[in-house]
Amino acid sequence: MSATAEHQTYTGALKGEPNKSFEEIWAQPRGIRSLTSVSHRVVGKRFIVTGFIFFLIAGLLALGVRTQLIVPGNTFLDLQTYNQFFTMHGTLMMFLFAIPILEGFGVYFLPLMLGARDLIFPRLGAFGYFCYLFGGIIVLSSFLFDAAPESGWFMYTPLTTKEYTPGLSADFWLIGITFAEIASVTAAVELIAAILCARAPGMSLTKMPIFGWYILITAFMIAIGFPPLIIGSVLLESQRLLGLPFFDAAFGGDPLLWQHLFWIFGHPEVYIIFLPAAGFVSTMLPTFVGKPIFGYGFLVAAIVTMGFISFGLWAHHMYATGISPVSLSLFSAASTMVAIPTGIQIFCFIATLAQGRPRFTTPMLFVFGFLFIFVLGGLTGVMLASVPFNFQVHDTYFVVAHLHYVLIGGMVFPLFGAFYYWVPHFTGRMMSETLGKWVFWLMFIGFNTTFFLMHVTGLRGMPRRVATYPEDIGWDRLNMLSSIGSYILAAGIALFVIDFFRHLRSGEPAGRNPWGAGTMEWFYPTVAPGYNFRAIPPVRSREPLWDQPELNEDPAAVGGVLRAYPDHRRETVGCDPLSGEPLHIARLPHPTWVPLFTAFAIAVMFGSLLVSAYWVTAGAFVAMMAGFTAWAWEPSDSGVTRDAGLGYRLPVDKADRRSHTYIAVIGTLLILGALYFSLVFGVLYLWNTFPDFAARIARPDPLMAGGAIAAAVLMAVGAMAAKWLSMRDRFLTAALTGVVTAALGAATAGLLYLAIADIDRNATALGATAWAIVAYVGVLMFIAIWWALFNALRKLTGRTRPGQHVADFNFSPFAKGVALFAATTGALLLAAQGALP
Amino acid sequence: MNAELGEFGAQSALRAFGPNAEAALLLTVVMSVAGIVILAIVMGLVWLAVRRTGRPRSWWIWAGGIVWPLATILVLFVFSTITLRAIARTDDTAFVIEVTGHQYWWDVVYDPDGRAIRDANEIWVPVGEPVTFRLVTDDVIHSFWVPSLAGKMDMIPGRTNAFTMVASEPGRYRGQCAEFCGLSHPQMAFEVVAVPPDRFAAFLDELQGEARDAARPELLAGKQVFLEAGCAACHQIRGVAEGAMVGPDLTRVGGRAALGAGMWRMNKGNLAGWIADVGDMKPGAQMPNYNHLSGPDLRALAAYLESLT
Amino acid sequence: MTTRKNQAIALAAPITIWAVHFIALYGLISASCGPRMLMPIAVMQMTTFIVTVVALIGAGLPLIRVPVRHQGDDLATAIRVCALISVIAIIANALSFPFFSSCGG
Repeated sequence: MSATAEHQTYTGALKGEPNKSFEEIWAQPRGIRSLTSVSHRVVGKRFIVTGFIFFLIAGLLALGVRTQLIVPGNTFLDLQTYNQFFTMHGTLMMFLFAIPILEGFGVYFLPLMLGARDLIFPRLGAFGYFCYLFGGIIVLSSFLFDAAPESGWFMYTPLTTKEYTPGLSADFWLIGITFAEIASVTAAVELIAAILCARAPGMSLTKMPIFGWYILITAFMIAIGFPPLIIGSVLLESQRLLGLPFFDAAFGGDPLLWQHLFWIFGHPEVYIIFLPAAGFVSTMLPTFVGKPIFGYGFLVAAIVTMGFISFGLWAHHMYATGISPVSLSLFSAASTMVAIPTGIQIFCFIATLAQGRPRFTTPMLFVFGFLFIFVLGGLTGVMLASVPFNFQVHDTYFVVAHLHYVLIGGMVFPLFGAFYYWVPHFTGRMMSETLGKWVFWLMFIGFNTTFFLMHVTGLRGMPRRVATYPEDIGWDRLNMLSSIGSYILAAGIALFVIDFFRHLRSGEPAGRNPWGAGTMEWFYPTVAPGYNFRAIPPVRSREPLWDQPELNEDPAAVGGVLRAYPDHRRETVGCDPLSGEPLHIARLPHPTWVPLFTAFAIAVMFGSLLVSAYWVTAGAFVAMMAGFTAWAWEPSDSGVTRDAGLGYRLPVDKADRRSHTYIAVIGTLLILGALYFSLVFGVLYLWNTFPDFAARIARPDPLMAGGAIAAAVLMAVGAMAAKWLSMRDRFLTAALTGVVTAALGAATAGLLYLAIADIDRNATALGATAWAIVAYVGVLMFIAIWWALFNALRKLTGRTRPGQHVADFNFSPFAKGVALFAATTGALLLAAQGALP
Repeated sequence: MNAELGEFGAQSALRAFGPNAEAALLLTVVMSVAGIVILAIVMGLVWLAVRRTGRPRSWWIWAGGIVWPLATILVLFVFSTITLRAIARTDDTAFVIEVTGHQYWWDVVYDPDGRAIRDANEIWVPVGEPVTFRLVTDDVIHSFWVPSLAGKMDMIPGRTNAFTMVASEPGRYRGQCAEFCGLSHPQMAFEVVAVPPDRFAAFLDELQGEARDAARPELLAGKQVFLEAGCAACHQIRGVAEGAMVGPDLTRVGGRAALGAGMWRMNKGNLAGWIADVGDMKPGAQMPNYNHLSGPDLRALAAYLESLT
Repeated sequence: MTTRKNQAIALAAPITIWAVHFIALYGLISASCGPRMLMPIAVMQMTTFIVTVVALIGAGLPLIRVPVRHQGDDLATAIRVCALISVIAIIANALSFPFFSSCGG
């Protein structure tokens, strides 16, 4: 990095606002311009509020379901409406409530806890929120068009193909949910980079609050877990729109492939939901016990291993599909193994409790509720891992009971505790402790009445997803009681909503650190200013507010880095991912319309796809690319150094392997890789499962495939050369190399296309999947070419100044990753040459 | 017949009438008891931790979080795998019954590789003898489940699944589709009738023959309606109109205990209601409503169908 | 710096090895029990055994030698527990294989 010589004068684009004071720079835009806000505090709150609204809607749908089932042969809902209700209940809860609201808490609290002024990619956060919002609106709007999805939240093929579900209902689901998933995935990248790269000075990974670990692993799980479903949805949607036979058994496709892709996402999803909530618990417990969490090291190990092992459970949901018993036992093993990290966490919580007398506040009650309900749900989960038992209770009310115990116990109870715990941070006021206890007991009693009985209902033979059931079969009374319980549960939630609105006006002011917590989000008196920290204080403990007395003095005067703001920019400190030592100053964007514009363009793109207005789709695509280009156009301010205070002299936006932008590129590659390997899994699976169909496919052209590999390698070399030249400020040659790199990328994609041109994509599922792989590599190549040309163009137009290397520095790993996928594809095609008889 | 069972027969995993279901029930009971004990111990520990204050030790985590779950799991895993190995066997010598799932009914073929006798929605099995169910589907995924006899298995397009089971006591056992299969998924049930082996053999012989003749004039009129209204385009009645495979075989429709795939009691009234307005009783069924039939025609047709036993 | 890097690797490696092992076993089963029947079940079981031994050695390494400065700290615990769980989970992956002599049970 020798070329990063200190350029003392500020040569970057002048993006600061020199007339403004520190507070004004960080002020939130008001009125209509509040849509331009990129602050994590605003975006986080939006995620939480929107998620809660979806929760209420989904809860009402559940009440409809329970009301229908209150007596046998009920006609409160007709079959179609009932099917829509339970489909949308599951869909909203899983995709539009649980994940986004938890990410909202992460987005809102992580910078506060870790000592950052904002999330490291504020615009990405805002963009993700709008994607989520628009995706949710698309899914929900299906009710208006009388086309609500009605095939279950799991969308099993072939029930969801055009043949059995004509009309738009399945398209609404596939398009809307895929869109909302983009939000989850972008948030995952953002959270990974924020946790690893933007912490207070001195906060090494082991000094990080345990909540940070929970969210870090969750974010990695989202990055790996969501892509299979995204791929599955895209394949299913293209089967519906274009007739490609991915899941059609008549063409060598397999409905089970959908199930595999769905559950490789679907099972980790449960743990993605559980982990952040367990993070809430391990944040609240120490506060109310008055002692640090016990067994930090054990917890870290439990979180990490749980993040991995939870992926080995997906066939848990497919025991009855006729998979071979050996295979079942493998999945059964992983299913039971998850009990160990769970047990460790539960026992760490118990040991923490044993350290002192806990205060029985409302959040604490919810923690106890969590312990009871979740342990019970975990135990039935271990039961379900037993294959012969599972044959009986799979797809019965026993599973309904189990999953609600795990999800409501493991997520909703901690979430409500977290609401009570953190609400002063949002509003500056406390919610009522008296009403809070009522809320808890209503929810706890209502929940257990509803769902405990369902274990019995299921064992008595009642399948899931049935709108009616006959009399005299032994299910009447149990269902009646479950329905009554659900009303009690709903009453508890209603009381919570009422108390929330009450407290906005007449809640007691919270003041500073109302619960006496040890973590940094309580550093300022509520409501904390939007910049979180006037200066970012060094951190030496996991409970800084307990162990560092100086932090309890006037928060605006506490010493730290980045007190001065010579460039009048929003900025925070970027750190070494492991040690937490300050690495550079990360410049943050100011409010902008770009995220909203780009997200809206994508919404129009998806919406027009839904109504088959393809010209509009094309126009929206151009708008989207324009949006992304505008987003990235301003070069980062690398190339200068600044005095950061406390003896640190730090470069601005350093081009470094430890910087947030580089980590984000790696995180993105992880997601792209997961997408790619989902497709490769599909190809191998179909090839292995249907040899007869594989035999019918035309052979790929080996010459073209080999050429593609060569071109891909050259492209990677080109990107590396462009980086090398750019790091030495040789911008003209770097720009030309970039153009050559782009050309090589185009050549790679073209050669891959030629290699498979003879394969008929409509004749077999395997052929269609091979096309899907090449198409996917083509999309990645398009992005790489765009990026390479973009870098070149910026240099040629003189927008890049000496010392500004971040764009080229980060393009290199991206290009290498894409080249790797392209080369792997070429190699697969070459292998197919030999493997196809 | 088992007198304690209700009108529909047993549909409960808690009342096992065959070794498969019994093995699962044993697992259920053992695991439930163990689960309750574990839950009680953990909650007791939480209570202790709240009441007492002390210095936690890391061996608590080793013991409670690692060793204890591991020991429990190991026992369960071995127990469960041995059970699985016992029930996962498919017996090559067993009598084969092929069941095809349709939206929303079950096509049944006894001895598909030999005599291939077709029926629908009610499955007879010999008591005490192994029976292999061969499961396929004609449209979407269904799942074949008779809780009192054995665990479920899916019917998946492009695949054939099979499992062997034994009914150990005579009786009627209700089964139901356990995989969501569309609009009328809740109305896709069936019954398994377990009878002694000699009775079963006699049943098969009887079933293989042609439908009972319509002797009385009223029934003859009903038969005429059946042929003229176009019923035979989809439904087969052996000896009367053969070959149609689209809808359930009606050769012995009146002999079944239930109508509409295990949903309604078989009688003239329900039959007439079904024919006239099937879309109301079972939305999404492929059969059109025959409400244009005159009252007498409808009654005659229903009477004729009911007489087919 | 390098110590920290080693620690991060020691934390993540064993469970990653578990993941690779799991995928390998899933692949082996699919190869042996799928319609293509790429290998006889005995070969599959033999390969499983070898793969498991290799994975156990890899995942167990941090148990024997933890790259930390002092043994009592939380990171050392995390690394050791992580490795232990991984080792157990790898054994569990392979545990049921000897029970089955064919794909059908």
